[in-house]
Amino acid sequence: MPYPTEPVEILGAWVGAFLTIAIYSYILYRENLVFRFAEHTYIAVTFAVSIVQAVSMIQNNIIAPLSNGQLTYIVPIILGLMLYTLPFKQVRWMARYTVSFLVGIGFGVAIRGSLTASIIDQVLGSITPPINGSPLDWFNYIWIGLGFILVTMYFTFTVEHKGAYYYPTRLGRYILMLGLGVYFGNTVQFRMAMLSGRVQYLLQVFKIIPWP
Amino acid sequence: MGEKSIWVKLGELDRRVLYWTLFILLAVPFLYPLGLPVSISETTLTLYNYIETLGPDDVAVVGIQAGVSAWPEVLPGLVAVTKHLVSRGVKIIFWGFYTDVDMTMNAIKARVPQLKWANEQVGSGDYKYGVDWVYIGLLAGGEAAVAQLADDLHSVIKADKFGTPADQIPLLQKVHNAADIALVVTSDTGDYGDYYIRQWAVRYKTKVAEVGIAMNYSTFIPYYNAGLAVGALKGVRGGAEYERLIGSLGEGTQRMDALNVSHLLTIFAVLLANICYFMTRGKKGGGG
Amino acid sequence: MDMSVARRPEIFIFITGVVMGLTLFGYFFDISEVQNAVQTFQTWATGIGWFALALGFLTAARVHLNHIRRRTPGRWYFSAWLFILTFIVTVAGLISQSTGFYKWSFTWVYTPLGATLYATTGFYIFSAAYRAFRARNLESSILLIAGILVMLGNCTVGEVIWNQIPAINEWLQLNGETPAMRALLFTAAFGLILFGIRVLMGAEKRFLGVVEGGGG
Repeated sequence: MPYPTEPVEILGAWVGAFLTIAIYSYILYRENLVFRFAEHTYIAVTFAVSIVQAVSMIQNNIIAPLSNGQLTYIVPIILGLMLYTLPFKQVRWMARYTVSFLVGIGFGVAIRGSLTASIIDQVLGSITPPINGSPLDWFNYIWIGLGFILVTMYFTFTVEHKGAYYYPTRLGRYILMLGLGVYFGNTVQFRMAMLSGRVQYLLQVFKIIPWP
Repeated sequence: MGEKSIWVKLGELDRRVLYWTLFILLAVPFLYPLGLPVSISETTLTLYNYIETLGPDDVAVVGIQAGVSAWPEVLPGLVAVTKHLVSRGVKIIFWGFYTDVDMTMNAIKARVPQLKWANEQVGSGDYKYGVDWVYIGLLAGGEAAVAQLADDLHSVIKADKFGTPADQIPLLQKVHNAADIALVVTSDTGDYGDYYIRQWAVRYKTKVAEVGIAMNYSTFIPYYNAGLAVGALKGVRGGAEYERLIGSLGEGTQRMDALNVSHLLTIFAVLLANICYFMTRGKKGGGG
Repeated sequence: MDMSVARRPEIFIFITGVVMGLTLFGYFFDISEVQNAVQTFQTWATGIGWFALALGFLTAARVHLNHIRRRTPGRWYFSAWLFILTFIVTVAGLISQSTGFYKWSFTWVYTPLGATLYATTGFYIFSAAYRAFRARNLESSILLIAGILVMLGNCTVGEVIWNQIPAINEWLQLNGETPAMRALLFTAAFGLILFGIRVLMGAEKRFLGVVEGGGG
């Protein structure tokens, strides 16, 4: 894609660059008018995008089947509209019908999947020994199996981490720290990739490097 | 009071100095790229090998749950995997649970020119809209919606992005539930990868792969190790690895240079800060 | 008509319990009527999700309307700008999503600003690395060393420095962190199930904003 050529697109690229710098003015020089303008501009466009998307999807996937005679679609319309009572104190209770329905289905669906994916399969994955494994495979097997038990013991807060529990939970804490260290390393990758994307964008708008 | 030592001064460096240093140095690799080789991780290779087993009779879902804001991290992987699916002739259904999914779809399409909209000329090797690929657009409803898509796709999807009824789209006529899908590629900044595992992989044995941000790679590994996921790409690093595997170097490979600078700088910052800490610890009465 | 009956917490807890109970029951027992009902619930939840998309605006609109009404110094004109721009972009989007001002705003305001805000944490994590990550004890030393090795492994220059870095990173990612991540997944799932049991027993009311004396 070449550098924008239409005046309105060139203006857009510069508006994007200006707003980017305006947002970063906050972290360098705290709250200021330029930042506040950029912040409100972003929120406004985000709201508009959400409203437009909602209208379009409701039209395609709820109103259309309803007008084709699928009457059960009246229920999500009623429950969906009841959500909009949330900001109004006098009638807010109506939204609780929708919330209680969503909590019921949301947690029901999550629990049934978690039983297998997060509990049974995780335990099976920890206790299944390697077949024809190398010494490193066996080390990993013991590391994961034992480490899983120790970290889980560390997360058991109903028992005081004293006496026979002291050393296992201490070891669990060290293994947890190793995991969090890896997670931190991956977090740095994500955040830095994002930041480099913004630097790249500014360099492109200022024509220092080519547009992608 | 005596003058502060160099270690104390370094330890108390103004945050603005840090921010400007990072911002300016991040620009360097775009001006002077290094292009160092990328080694391949196991989880990238397993996904590649699995897609190699698929063909024109198979249908894959690409679920976009990462926004435009996460493009630098996830787009290279999404594009590389889509290119691979296209090279294998696998049919693709795109959808997303993120409000700006249209932008991501357009970005993928711009980078995978074989994908043609309905009003575009289709040549040899191109993907005909509605037959070889389809774009549903935005979906909503969280895990319940993911579960219902697995149980009965057509109860959720009444039309594609452009309002064409699902019963008039040949590709959608071929699929009814998760059992008809050979692979789900989920690109996330949030929890949707877990949803696909719980509702598709567990219940229908559908193969699921994560092409999300690097933090999600960490949380996805237990599923991979338990045999519930077929592979995972670690953010832009995984994207760069996949670009190398399919022999099509792109934005992921380019961004690795920026990661080199930022990571070395972060490591340098941690080491310098710790040296300052140890040099001043005793002098502050035990420190810390 | 007395509407207070319709607001009784028992009704909401009953709805949640029935919907959650049927969802779980339909999963473990092969009864098609129950499974069909659950599928209908799931379809409804998807539909409600679309309505929820625009909810954020309504909630924030109250706050900004208050700023305008009270002429809050330094704020009210930004709130007014927010309403004007939301209105213009929404109208443009309802006319056409693929052309005009909506597409322009999407491309040149929404996209760069979303990415910018998301990337801001890059600065913070860098300054946190400089200011907070100290090897004060064994735990923080383990975290630091693992983090540094992963950072070296995730960038390509790591293997130029030492050719064993990719293998170490691969071990840390696939095996080293698995006990911790698996335990987090496992214990979170237990928490979820216990929450479900509390809801089914009617002991959990916090999700409705109903907290009885002493909290609970």
